This record gives sequence, C-alpha cells and structure tokens, in this order.
Amino acid sequence: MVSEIDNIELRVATKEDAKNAQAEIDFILNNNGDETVTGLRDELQQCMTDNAGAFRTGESLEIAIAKVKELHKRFKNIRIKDKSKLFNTELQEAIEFGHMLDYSAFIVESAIARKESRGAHYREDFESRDDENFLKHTMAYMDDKGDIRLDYMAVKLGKHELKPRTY
Amino acid sequence: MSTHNINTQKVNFKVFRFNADVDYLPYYEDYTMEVTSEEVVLDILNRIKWDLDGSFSYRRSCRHGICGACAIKLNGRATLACKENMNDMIKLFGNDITLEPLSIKRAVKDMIIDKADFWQKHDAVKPYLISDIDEYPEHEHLVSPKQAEELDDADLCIQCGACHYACPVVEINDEFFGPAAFAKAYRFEADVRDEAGTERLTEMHKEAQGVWDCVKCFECAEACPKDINPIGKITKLHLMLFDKGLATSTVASRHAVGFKNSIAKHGMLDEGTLVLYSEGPSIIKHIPVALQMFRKGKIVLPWNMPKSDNLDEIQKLVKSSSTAKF
Ligand code: SF4
Ligand code: SF4
Ligand code: FES
Repeated sequence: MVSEIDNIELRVATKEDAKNAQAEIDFILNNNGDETVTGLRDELQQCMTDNAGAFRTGESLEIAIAKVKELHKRFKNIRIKDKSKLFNTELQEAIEFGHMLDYSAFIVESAIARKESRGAHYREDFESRDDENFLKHTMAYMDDKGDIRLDYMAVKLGKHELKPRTY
Repeated sequence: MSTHNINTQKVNFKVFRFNADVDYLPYYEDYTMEVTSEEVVLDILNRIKWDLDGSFSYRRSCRHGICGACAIKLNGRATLACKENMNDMIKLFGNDITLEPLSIKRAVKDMIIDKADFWQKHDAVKPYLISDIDEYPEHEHLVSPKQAEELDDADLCIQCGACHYACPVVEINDEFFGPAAFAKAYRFEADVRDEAGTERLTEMHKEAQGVWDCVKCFECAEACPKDINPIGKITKLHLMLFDKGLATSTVASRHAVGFKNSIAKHGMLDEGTLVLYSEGPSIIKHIPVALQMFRKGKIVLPWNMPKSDNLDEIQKLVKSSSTAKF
C-alpha cells in the first residue's frame, strides 16, 4: 500500500500554473460585477442539498448540473469589497467558492453517468447495484472550458469477493 | 409535547474595525440586527461578514469550541464566539453589545490579532513530552487513571489566548510567560512520563518570566472558556519549585515563605514584616508607600500586630497543610 503511494507520479508545477493561480486571485480582487459570493454560495448549497444528496435521480441531477453551469457564469460577475492583501478572508472565501463550483460539477457529472446505486450514491431511478457495468472507479477530468470528460479505472478487489449486500 | 420557542430581539452591535494596511486609527461600526435565541456569537460575526460587510474579518474554524481560533472580547469580557449563546450574552449585558479583539494593541484586522507573543511563550516552555523514548517498545507505557488526573485538565487547553490577553502582568511585563504557557508547562511537569527533570521547571523560577511575577488576580481563571483555571496550575508550579528544591531565595520565593511565616505567627498577614522579609535591606525604597499604608491602617507597627482568634488551630492547620520544605 505505502509503496503504491510512493510510486504516484506528481506533476511538477510550472510557471504557467503559478500564472493561473495569480490570474484567479487578480480576477477576484479586481472584478467589478454585481453578484456576491455569499449569495451564489447559498444558492449552490441549497441546490446541491436538494438535488445531489445521497438520494438522487437522473432528473434531479440534471437540475443540479444546470444550476452549477448557471452559477459558473454568474461567478464571472462577482465583486468583493475587501481589496486588501492583509488577512483577506473574503478573497479566500471567493477562491474556495470557485473550487466548490468545480467540485460540484465533478460530483454531479459522475453521478449522472453512474446509472446504478452504490453506497451513498443512491439513484432512486436505478435502485440496485450493477456490478456488470459499474464495478469501476470514475475518473473525471476538466478541460480549460470547464467541460468534464469521464473515464473509468478497474477496481482491484484483493481479498474481497463480490456478493450482494443483504443487510 | 414540549414546545421550544424561538424568539428574536433587536440588538445594537458596536464593532471594532481596523485594517493595519490602510487605517491610521481604529474606529467602531454600528450594526443593528434581529438576533434569534438560537444564535451563538460566531453566528453574528458570520452574518456581519456574509450579509452586511464582506471585508469584516475574524478567525474561526471548528465552530465547536475546540480549535481556539474565535476568541474575542464582548463588552470587555473574554468570549469564545462559537461557544457563547447570544441570549446569555443579552441577559448579562443587555441589548447594546460591543465586539472587540482580545487585545486592541495587537489588532491586525478587525477581530484578528497578532498572537506572536502568545506562541513565542508557548514555545519557550518546551510544550512537549521530554522523554527518552524506546523506538521499539515491547509494551505500552501505562499511566494510571489517578496519575492522569494529576494533569488536572491542563491538557484541555485550546490555546485560544483568552487568559493570556486578560492577564494584567502580560500587559506590562514582556517577559512574563503568561497563564496559558504556565498551564502548558504544568501539563507536562505533571505527566509521569515526562523526564525533563529540572530543565523546564527552572525556567518557571526565573524572575520576570516565571511564576513568581503572577499577581494572583484570577483574571485568567475568569477568562478561560474551558475552565482550565491557569492560576491553579501556577500555584501547583510554586509548590513543585519548593518540593524539588529549585525555589532559591529570591524576593518572590521569600515573599511566599513570608506569607506562611506571618500566618503561622499571627494567624493573619503582617504586611509590614512581610515586605521586610521578602526584600531585605532594599525595603528602604518602599518607605513612602509604607507611610501611606500606615496612615490608612493597612499596616501596623510590629509590636502592635494583633493575633487572630484560635491561633493554635491556625498553626496546626499551617503545619498539617505544608507539604513543601522551605
Ligand atoms: S492570576 Fe496571575 S497569570 Fe492569572 S491573570 Fe492574574 S496575574 Fe495573570
Ligand atoms: S488556558 Fe483556557 S483561556 Fe488560556 S489559552 Fe487555554 S483554553 Fe484559552
Ligand atoms: S471556531 Fe473553533 S473554537 Fe470557536
């Protein structure tokens, strides 16, 4: 196990990465729109709780993805009041919110594609586990435009044998 | 079925504002809000930031009274924001509430202070177990429940700094370790696994920084949101110093012994002789104060010193309760 972790190849950060991070901060500090991060965050939290909780359906997840995309657009129109470089927790919350949007998209797109129920992913429209089609890890990648591509990786079962959960 | 009523009431908040980057002087901002009986002080800080002014700044993390980040002052009282219920605060102080950082002179931005001195002192008392640890032990190091009790809850400290910035000695003496650092030092001194010997304890004895400069005002005990009672730990460190023979004769340790001698002799405090005992010949510098105290009747001339009733019982008590050798 530990040796596997040691073997993970980490990508070396480039100047380009640093520039992107700096651009993200500059955008938040200088953008002069009329949305507040708090307002958008409240909407995202409510939407994800209602539509992408443990119990979800294809329909509710489509509502969620539409909302996440809408919020992505509206995020371009934010303004924060605190412009200072000292303990700027408003900037911090805005950066965090941008990432929350990305991760919400990962969660929802993966859930839409997984047409089965497994653990805390309970699709009310596909109530049983489907090992034939979904005994695999979801890998999700986001491109520059914010579109998500899904890929899958085989599960190493090791000592575990496959059997239905009957408890 | 029991019903739980949620009520709301109007509260006027006066909030300390300051940004060390741009403001020359701090100022206060007023916010009037409807406060529900379910809210804690941290909810108010959040609502100011999220609904009224995004630039308002404070520290928070756990919202569960365990990370120590959110300590502030509410109407001058040290308050762990996520622990105190607003209703209780309104009962204590009424509907006009002032929110300030723990230490105004250390303010960096609104409620956020520079806690560097707090952490420096924390580090200075060697806040870790000093022990020669066997890297491949064959069995666990047993600590009995009774031995664990010796810590006297000192291990529950969350480093919030409330006691430190409530301490009047910290305010005037830069070297003083302060109540939180003492509680931390005690936490390891009282640990049976600690083998620091005299290494940590000698630091506690040194003048200016050590336990003897505590004026026993109990502010730290009052301020602590976790009921650590730092002054209680300071007293235990005093006793440890005497027990281990580290309390060399200084003004401070003589002062402590002088207290005991005075009580043993008179059953009450003879302040004049006490100062003479503590300070020796340098008492001369206190003559102006002594004359004032004499005029007010705070001290009497040695031959006029009264004796307490039941002096023999007091003397027996002193004898039976003295565990330390002087
Ligand atoms: S009792 Fe001692 S340590 Fe505690 S606040 Fe007072 S002076 Fe400071
Ligand atoms: S002793 Fe109490 S007041 Fe002092 S830092 Fe620890 S928890 Fe906070
Ligand atoms: S937020 Fe952690 S103690 Fe209050």
